[in-house]
Amino acid sequence: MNSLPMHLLDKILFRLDLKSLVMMQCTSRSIKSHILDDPSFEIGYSSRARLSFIYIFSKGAHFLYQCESMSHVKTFASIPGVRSYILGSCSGHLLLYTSGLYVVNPLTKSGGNFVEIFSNNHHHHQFKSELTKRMKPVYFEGTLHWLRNDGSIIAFNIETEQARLIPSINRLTLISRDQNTISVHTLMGDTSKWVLARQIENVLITDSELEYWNVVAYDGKHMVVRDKEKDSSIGVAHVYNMEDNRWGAWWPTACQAKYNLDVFRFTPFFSFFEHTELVEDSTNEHLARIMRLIDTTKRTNPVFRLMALGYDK
Amino acid sequence: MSKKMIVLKSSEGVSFVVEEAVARQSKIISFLVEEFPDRELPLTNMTSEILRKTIEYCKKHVVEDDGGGDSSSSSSGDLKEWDVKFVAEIDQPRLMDLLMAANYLDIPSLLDVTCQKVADTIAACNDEKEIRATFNIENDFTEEEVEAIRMENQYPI
Repeated sequence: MNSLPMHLLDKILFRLDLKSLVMMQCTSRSIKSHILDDPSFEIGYSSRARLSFIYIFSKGAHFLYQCESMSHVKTFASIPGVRSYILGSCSGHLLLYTSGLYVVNPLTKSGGNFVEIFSNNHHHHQFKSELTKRMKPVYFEGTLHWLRNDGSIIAFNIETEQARLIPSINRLTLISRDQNTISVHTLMGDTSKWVLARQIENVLITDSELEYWNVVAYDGKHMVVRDKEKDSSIGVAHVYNMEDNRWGAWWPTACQAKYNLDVFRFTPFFSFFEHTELVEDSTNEHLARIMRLIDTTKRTNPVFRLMALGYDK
Repeated sequence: MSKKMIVLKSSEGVSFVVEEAVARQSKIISFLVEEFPDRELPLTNMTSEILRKTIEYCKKHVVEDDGGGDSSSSSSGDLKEWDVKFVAEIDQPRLMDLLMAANYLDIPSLLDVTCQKVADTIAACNDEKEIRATFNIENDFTEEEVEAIRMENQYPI
C-alpha cells in the first residue's frame, strides 16, 4: 500500500465511505497526511464521493439513518431531546429542523443556521394560508420552496431574502404497480394527458401477500419503494436507479407502515459557508443544545461532529 | 482471414501469444503495436503470473467484431459477475500487482475493478490494525496518536 503511486492510492481512497477513510488515517503517518494535508484530496474525494440515502421518520425523530450500500444501514446522527426533521438535501448539505432551521455539512462538520429567517419573514406569513398542508419546504440552489394549493410554488432566496412566486408547473407523476410491472405516468402540462413515461419490471414482488407497498421518494433519477410482506416482521426499502435501469441498494426498515419515512439522496461534499461567525456562548437554548451535540470537547454524546456556526445578524 | 497475433514477454522471459484485439485493450500495447509491428513486446516489470491473469481478463472483455457482428462476448450483467469472481480469487499481494499492471498497461476497466476490490477489502476491516495487517502497512503511530485521530473524527457506528 505504501509503495503505491499517489494517484492509485487516491483511486482507492475515493471509493471509501467516511468511516473507512478515518480507519485509513489511523494506519500510518504518510496516509494520514495525504488525506488531511493535501487540499486536492478533499476536492477529489467529494467529487467522487459515493451516493447514499438518508432517511428519517416524517413525524420527526431523534435519529437520522443512513443507507450507504446494499443493506448497510447505520445511524447517521442522533439528536437527543428534540425532534428533528430533514427538510432537504443538496450538495452535501442537509437542511435540518430541530427547533430552529440549520444547514449542516456532515462531511466538513460545518453548518450555519436559518433561525433568523423565520422569526421575521413576512413573505412567509403572507402566503401561509395557501400553503399545502403536510408538505415540507424543499431546499434547492440556495432557495427554499413551498408548494401552494394551486400547484404554484413560493421560492424564498436565503441570500437575498427575496421571495417570488413560481406559477403552477402541472407536472404530476403517478407511480402505480401491478403484479409484474411498475408504471410511471407523467401528466403533460400542455395536453393534460397522462403519458406512460416508464415501465419497470417489478422483480421484487414475491408470491407472498404484501401488507403494504408504497413509493417513498422519487426525483426522476431514483425511486425508493418500501414494502412489507404479511408474514415478515420488518419492511424493506428498495432503490431503483432510473438511469441505469436497475434495482440497487435496499435496507430493512424496522418500523410499522403507519410511520412515514422521509428519504433523501445524500452525496458528501466538501464546502464551507462564508460570512458566518462562530458562536462561543449562545443564549438560545435550542442552539446551545445543538452546540453541545456537536462540540466533542464536551462529549455528551458520541455523535458525528456537526459544528454550527452562528447567526448572521 | 486469420486473426493477427502478437507476442508479449514477461519479466521471466516467458512468451505469451495473444490475439491483437485482446491485447489492444491495453492502450499502451495498442500504441506499441502500431509503432513496432511484428515485434515481441517485452513487459519487463510484469511477472508471468500477473501477465497471465491480465490476459485472462482481456480475453473475457474483448468485444468481438468479425466484420458483421457487433455482439460483445458476454452480456454486461454476466461480465460484472465474472469480474467479481475474478478479483475474489486473487490474494491480496497479487491483487496489488494486478492493480499496478492495469495502471502500467493502461486498461481502465481492470484498474477500476481492482481498485474497487481493494476499497471493499478496506471497508470490510474492523479497525486500523486489521487494515495494516491485510495490506502490510507499517505502523508509525503511537496508541495515543491513533486515539487522537479517532476523537477528531467521531462517527456513529
